[in-house]
Amino acid sequence: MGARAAAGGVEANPYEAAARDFARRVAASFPAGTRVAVDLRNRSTLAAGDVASIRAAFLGELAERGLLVATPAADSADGEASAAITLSENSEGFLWIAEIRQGDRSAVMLIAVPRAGTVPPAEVSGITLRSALVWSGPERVLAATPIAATFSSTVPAASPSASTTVAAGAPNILLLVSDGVTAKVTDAQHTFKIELPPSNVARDAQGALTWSGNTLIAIVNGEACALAAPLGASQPQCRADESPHPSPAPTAQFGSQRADLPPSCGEASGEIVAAGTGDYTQPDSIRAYEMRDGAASPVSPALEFPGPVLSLQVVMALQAEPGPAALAVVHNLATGDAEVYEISLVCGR
Amino acid sequence: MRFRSSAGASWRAFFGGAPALLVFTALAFAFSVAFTAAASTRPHIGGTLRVELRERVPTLDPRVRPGEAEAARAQEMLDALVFDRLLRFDDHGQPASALAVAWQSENEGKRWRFQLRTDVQLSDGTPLTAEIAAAALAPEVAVELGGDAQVSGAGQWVTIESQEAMPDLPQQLAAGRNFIFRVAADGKSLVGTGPFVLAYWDSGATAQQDVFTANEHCWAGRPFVDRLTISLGVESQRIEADLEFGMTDAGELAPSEMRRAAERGVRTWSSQPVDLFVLAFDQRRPAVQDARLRQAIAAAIDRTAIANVVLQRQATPAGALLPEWISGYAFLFPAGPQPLPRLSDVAVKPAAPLVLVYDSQDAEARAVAERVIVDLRAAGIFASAVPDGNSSSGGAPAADVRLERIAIAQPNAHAALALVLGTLTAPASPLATAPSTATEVGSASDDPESLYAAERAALADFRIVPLAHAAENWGLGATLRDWLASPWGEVHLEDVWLDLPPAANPQ
Repeated sequence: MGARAAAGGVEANPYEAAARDFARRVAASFPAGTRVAVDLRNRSTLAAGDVASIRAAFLGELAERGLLVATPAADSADGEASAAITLSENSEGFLWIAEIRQGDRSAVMLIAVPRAGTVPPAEVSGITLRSALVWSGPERVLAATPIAATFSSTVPAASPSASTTVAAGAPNILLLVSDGVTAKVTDAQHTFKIELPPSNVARDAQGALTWSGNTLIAIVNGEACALAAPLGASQPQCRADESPHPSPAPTAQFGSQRADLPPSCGEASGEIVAAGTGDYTQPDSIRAYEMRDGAASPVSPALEFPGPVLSLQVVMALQAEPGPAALAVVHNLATGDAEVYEISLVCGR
Repeated sequence: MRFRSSAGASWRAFFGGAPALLVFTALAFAFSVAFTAAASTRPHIGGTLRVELRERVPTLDPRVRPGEAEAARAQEMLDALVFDRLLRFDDHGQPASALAVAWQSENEGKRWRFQLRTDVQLSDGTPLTAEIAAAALAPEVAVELGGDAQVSGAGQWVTIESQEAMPDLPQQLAAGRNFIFRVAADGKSLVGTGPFVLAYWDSGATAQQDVFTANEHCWAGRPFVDRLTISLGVESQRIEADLEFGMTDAGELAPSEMRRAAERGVRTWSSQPVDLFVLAFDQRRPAVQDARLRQAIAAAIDRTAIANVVLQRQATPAGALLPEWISGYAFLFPAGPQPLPRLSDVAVKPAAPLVLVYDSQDAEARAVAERVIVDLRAAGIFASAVPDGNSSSGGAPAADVRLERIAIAQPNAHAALALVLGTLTAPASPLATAPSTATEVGSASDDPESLYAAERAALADFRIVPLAHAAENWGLGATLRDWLASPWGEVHLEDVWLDLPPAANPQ
C-alpha cells in the first residue's frame, strides 16, 4: 500500500506501474502487429480517475509493444484477437483479469494489485482542512506522535515490518501499538516494547504519546511509562497514572475526540478539530470549529474518513503547510488497517 | 522455516541502559494536551445483552458436533463466548495471535510450534498451560488432520506434527472447533479463557435460554456487558417482533424477515455472501454417472430465482464455489442461464426420479431444494427432494445428489477454497472417493492464477454445482452499539455495548 500526499503537486497515479506491467504480460500473448480489440471494464471500487489512468497506461503500453489497439465492435469477426480486461477486487486487494482470445486459443491472466490509500482534501470557504496519509498497517494503533527531530538520530534501526507502509516523504512518527498485553512504541525503523501489567488490559484500549522535554511519555490504560532519550537505550519506567485527565464529553456536534489548536486563522481562542459521534462500526469525519460565545460553530465542511477516528492529537505541522496540525488515528473499515493522517488547517481559502 | 509474531513483523525490544528520566509531574499537562478518547463515542460498561437465535444447540461442549450445519454454526458461536482458540483471524482474514503469541513451522510444514501467551488464566483462576491446550486440541486435530497427527505440550509451546505437510494449519486453528479448554474435576464441565463464563445452561426447555456472565479475568479484557442471555430455538418472525418492540438486543433473522424488519424500522446487518448452497453428486450412484446429465442439471437450474425469490435477495447467484468478494474472479464462472445439453445425448438416463437430499433442520435449504426440483422438472429431469432424516431412517431411497450448505467462515481465498473442497470430499461426503481437489488446493501457491485453475478443475466435471451464496442476517436493537461482526459473519458479542443508562437496562 502506498499513500499520496494531499498537500498539492501532481503525482503519478499509484496504479500506473501495475497497469503497464499487466499490459506487458498481455502483449506477450500476441505477435507484434496484431490488431487486438481491447475492452476494459471496472467492477471494483477504483475511482473513475484511477480507472482512466489505468486505461491510458495499459493501452499506451500495448501500443508501445507494437499491438494495434482497437475498440471492440459489435460486428467484429469471431476470429479477431481480443483482450477483455476486468478490474476486479477481492478481500485482500484489487484483482485484474485479462481474458485473451485469438482464434481458437483462449487464456486467462490474473494479477493481484494492492490498494493505495487516498483521502481527498476538504475545500471550504473559510478554512481548508487537509489530510495526508502518513502511515498505515495492520497493528492496533492507540496514538501517534512525531519523533522529535533532535532524537530521531539517537534511535537504533530495526527491520521494518513488511506489512507496514510509510508514505514517501512522510514524517518520522512514533506509534503506540497495543496487542493486549504489551504496548509497543514503533515506527517503520524502531521498536520499543513496554511491558504492561496484565490486569490493565482493556477491550476499549486507550493511549497517548507525548514528549515532555527529553522524555517520551506513553500512557496506556492507566499505566504511564517514560522513555528517555536516547530511546534505544532507555528502560521504560512505568507507574500507575494517577494524574487527572478528564476525557472531553461527547456533545451533539462532536464525539469523544477533539483537539484544541492554537490560534491560527485570526480567532483569539483558536480552532477545534473534532470527530463525529458514531461508534466503531461507522465511517467518521473531522471538522474544524471555532468557539463563539461558548458554542462551537463549524468553520469547515466535514473531512470524511473510511472508519472511526480513534485518536486525535495536536502536533506541529509535519509535511503539510506550516502551522498547527493534528495526527488522527483511523481504523479503516474497508481494509481493517490502522491509518495515521496528518490533519492541517489552511486559513482564508 | 516461517516465523510470525502477532503483527506479522519482527519486533526488537530495547531494554537496559541508563534509566529513563521520570517526568511524571509533566504527565497532567502532557495528557491534557495529548489525550483523546479511544472511540468516536466511547463504549459504556454494564447491562444485560439479550440475543435470540433460530437454532437450538444441545450442548456447549465443542467435542460434540451437532448433525445439522446450522446448529453446528450456532454452537461454534456460543463456544467462542467461553473458549478461545490458539489463533484468530484479523480484519484481513490472516491468522493473528490469540492464546498463542507466535508460531513457526519446521520440517517442511510437517511440524508446527505455537508459543502460548503468558499469564493467561482459565475462568476458574487456574493458569493455562501447554499441556492443557494440547489435550483440548488433540481430538479435533485428529479429526481434521487424520489419526497420525500428534499434539503435545511442554513449557510454553504446543507442538503439532504430522506425516503430511500442513500449510494451512494456522488458518485451520483460527476457525472451527479448535477451542482450548480444561475438563473440570467433575469430568463434564469445561473451563475456558473466553470473554464470558457460562452461568446457566438450559438444555431441555422449549424456549431454551442460556445465561453467561462477564469473565473479569479474560486475558483480552472483560467484555463491556455484565451479562448475556441467549435464547435459542426462537422463530424468525418472533425475533423480528422482539426486535421491533425492544424485547431483545440482537437476533438472527431469516432472509424472509429482512425486508419486514427494515420496513418496521429495525436496524439490520448482513454479512458478505458466505453460505454456499451447492449440489454434490454421489459418484457412486449409477444414475448420475453421465457428465452430460450432470451438465444438463447444472444448466437447468435458475440460480437468479433462487437468490432473488427463494432467498429474498439476501444471496447472489453462484457459478463459482468462492463468492466474488473472496476470490475477485467469480464472474468468470457464469451463474446465469446456460445452454441446455440435449437429454437425448445423455447415455445413461435415470430409470427412476433422482433423489435430492437436504438438511431437514434448515428451512432455507428446503426451499432451495424444492426450487431445484421445479427447475429440473421443467427441463424434463424428474427428481424429488427428501429431507435427510427420512433418508437415513431407511424410509426413502439413498441420495443421488445432496444439497450442501457450507459456511465459508474465512476470507482468505486459498484457505476458503480448501475449506469448501475439504468439506465436499470429507469421509461422510458423496465425493469422498473422488480425487482430492482439496489436496491440489493445499499444494497450490497463493497466486490468483493457481487458485483460479484449482477452482476451475474442481467444477469441470459437474460433480459439484454451485447454486448461490447467501448472507447471514441479523437484526439489531436501537440501543446496541459496536456490532463489530466480520464480513464473513463472525460476531463478537464481547465488543458490543448498550447505550442505556445503567438503571434502564433490563436484567
